[in-house]
Amino acid sequence: MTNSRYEILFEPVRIGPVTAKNRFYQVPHCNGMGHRAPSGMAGMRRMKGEGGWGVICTEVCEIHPSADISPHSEARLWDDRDIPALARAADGIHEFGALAGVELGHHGFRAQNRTTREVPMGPSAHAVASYDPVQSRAMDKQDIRNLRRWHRAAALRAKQAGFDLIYVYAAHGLVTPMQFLSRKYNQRTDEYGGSLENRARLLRELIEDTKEAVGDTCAVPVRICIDELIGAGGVCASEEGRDVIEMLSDHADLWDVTVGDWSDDSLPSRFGPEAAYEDYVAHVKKATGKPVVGVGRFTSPDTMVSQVRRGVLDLVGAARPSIADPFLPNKIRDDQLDDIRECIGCNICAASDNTYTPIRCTQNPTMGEEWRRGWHPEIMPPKESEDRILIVGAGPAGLECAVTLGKRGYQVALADAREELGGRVARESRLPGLSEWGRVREYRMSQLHQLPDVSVFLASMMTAEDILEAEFDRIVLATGSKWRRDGVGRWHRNPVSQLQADRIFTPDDVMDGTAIEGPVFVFDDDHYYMGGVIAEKLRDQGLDVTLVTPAPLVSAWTVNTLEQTRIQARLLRKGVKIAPSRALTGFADGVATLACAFTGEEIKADFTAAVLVTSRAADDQLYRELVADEARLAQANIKSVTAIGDSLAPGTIAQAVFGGHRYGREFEKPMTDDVPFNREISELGPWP
Amino acid sequence: MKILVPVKRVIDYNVKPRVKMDGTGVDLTNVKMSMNPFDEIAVEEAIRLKEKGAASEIVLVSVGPQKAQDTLRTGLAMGADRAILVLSDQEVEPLAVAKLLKAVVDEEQPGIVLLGKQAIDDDCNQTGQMLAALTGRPQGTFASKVEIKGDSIEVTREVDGGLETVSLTLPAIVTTDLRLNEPRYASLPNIMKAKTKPLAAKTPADYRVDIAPRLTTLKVEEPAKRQAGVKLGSVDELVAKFKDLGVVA
Repeated sequence: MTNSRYEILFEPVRIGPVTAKNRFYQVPHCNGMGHRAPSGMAGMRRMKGEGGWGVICTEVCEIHPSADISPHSEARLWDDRDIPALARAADGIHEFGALAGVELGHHGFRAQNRTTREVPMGPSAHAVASYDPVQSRAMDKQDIRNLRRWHRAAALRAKQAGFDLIYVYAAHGLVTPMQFLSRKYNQRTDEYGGSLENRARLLRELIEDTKEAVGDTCAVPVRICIDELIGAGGVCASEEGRDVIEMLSDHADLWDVTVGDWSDDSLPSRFGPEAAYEDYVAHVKKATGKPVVGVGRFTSPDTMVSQVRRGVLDLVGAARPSIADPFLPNKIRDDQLDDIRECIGCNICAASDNTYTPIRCTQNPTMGEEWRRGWHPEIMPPKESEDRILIVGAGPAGLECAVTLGKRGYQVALADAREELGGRVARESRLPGLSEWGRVREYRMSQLHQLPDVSVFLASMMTAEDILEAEFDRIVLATGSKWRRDGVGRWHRNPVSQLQADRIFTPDDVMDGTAIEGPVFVFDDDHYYMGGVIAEKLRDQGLDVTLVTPAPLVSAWTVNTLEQTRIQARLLRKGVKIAPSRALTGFADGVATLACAFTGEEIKADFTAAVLVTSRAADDQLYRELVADEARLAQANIKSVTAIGDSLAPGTIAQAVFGGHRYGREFEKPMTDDVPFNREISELGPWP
Repeated sequence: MKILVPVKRVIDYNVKPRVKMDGTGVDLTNVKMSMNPFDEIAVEEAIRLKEKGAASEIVLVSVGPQKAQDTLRTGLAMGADRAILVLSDQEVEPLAVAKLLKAVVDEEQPGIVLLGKQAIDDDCNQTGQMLAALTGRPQGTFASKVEIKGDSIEVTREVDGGLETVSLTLPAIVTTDLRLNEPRYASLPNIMKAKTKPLAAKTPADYRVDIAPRLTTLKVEEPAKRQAGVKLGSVDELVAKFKDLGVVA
């Protein structure tokens, strides 16, 4: 232990019949792989074990076909045939001495059962939360006995698979015992409804059942919602939340504390800081003597120590910080604090699960690729040649490419036209709410300082001539992209003709500090964060701002990053006018023409300026110039010219980092037609 | 007028230095090196003087290993005209550097020698002063502003009490402090162009200077790690603690 200041984080903690080797606890989190990509999931969990986590949990594990949440792909223990996949995860977790936890869950009336066609059930008959035309029925006593039997059977399977902690999950409003606990969903009049004791009865029974089945050798943690954040109509931390914990304190081996729903628990950095819910979590330790774990997007080791020392938590819970850096515990242990990849709170990871894709992370391009591509976040394969590589552009793609190649031992020159590194990350992190995104740049800069074979050149605009004369073997163009001024995006596929150029601005202009006069409208056909952020910034400057979008929602794609409702609420509260389901069809002489997205009917409105946030054009002129003349490339002994990141095709920062990393790892490999990653094929079932 | 700017290749200021296991020095294996920041400021000032028309040629000189060529190239890329590398694989002390620089000064006859006030690896702050003594020239050290006035150079110096302005008759020695200027970046295209600028390689023997060290390093160790503090409950406790530590009677 090189730094005694953090010794406290490496103390073992007893949890029921098992002991965690340290206080680093990776709480259950989804990953988009689940039962459809079991080795991918197991490989990801195993990597966290290698990184030093003391407890590593699976995502929620479906226990029965009566609560199927497809197309989300979570873990599954429906019958014995599901055990080997879970056992693989448990084995991987055990390899480096971590404890393995599984979060058994039954989704009650939140399960639409799209695949199984079972009728969903819950405490009372309610429509499902999504807009599926499905409603649930109220559970009767037999249903409750059935649920208890299924939960018990799943717990036994989990034990057989090798898990050390077997959860009862009652949080996020997503699962049956939580639905029974909440007055919002439970309107029963029998002994399972009404008083808090009644509403907690099912939870108590499930905990007792689980302890009875597996509690001799396995710990039974309870994931509980301490406060529903809906005010007096729900569970509140200082009243029912505390009471439930006190009531059931002896039953649970560990309390895993959450707040609100998933969008609260996984609070994006745009809407809250590290340790945002400490005031709620602090109530739990007052109500129980059992160990308590909670989250708060903890990336600072000092904050972690503080949570433990002040008696807020016994175990430092983390999902997103463990995704950004599976090696967080080892780096703290080895005093490599500058090497920690800090979570930026962008929630691209959550978006993966919400779009049913394998998890990815802006900061950690190897997340989700541990098994299928064999990528390790800390170990790069050594260089295969003495090739010298020139990377033009030091945005997220260029930076990641330089760091990856540098760690492999290659000689790299990283050149950027500007006087600072970071490209779009440096610029965007100065927009309202996005300052933590700057960590993408800071982490890579700290790595570059330790790589003597990577030389950085600022104020270095490179022409094709410069590149040809620079005496490098391989050229990488990471020159980024620019926001379009012609209205082309998803609504318009061809430039809009009636746009008066001197009144049109883009996010690039806003980031450059160009003065814009109001009233101004933002036309958002990008539907991710930029339109909303620009509207917010202009409004903060005191301008009269209207956000126009063809979608019915502001920043529509952010439903996936769990930010949408907060974004729209924030803009409304700040006085930004919203014009949804409208497309810009012209803007000249101070008059904007806006067409209804459904009928095409046009209305006119007066504005002084417009900011178009529609799509970006790749900055690929340099690339085209270089590849156009093969003879000149051969003469300059240049083996390859490759575009990466936004300059290949504009996308997310996560995709740019992934592109830079992939080049760094794979550029020597010849192009093949093979599938570029491992995959598991479903086993064919019996056939008459 | 010719300006001579000595530059030193040192550990990059962003790097966290580590001491070698045997305590004989700082571990420089596989560590990022760059031009001493105060020397960058000197190069920048020389270029600005040339841009104003006060100087006609900027000559760089460095004493160091072959790799110091990269450092000289950076200076040439910034705008210097030619460079001299005095090759030495062993560490060279300020007195030896000053003697070598005197020999170069005798050959080149610069109107101004502009040096960084100190190197960030040894923090010696001696070479400029020693060179002034060896050459018998006036010195203006810790410069935050320089201005050529006819046959003199006016140097505003950062001293403990504030600022002091001295006038030196040329030829003179000036050492730079942090606030003198903000150096321009050496762009990659300029680094490439700088490859055609003359870079002469010499040895200490060429200048008939004995660079053998006069000092022996006894020990190098890292500063003690900061220990956790102790929270006390009252002034009485504080006084008792002071007594225990022997800080008060």
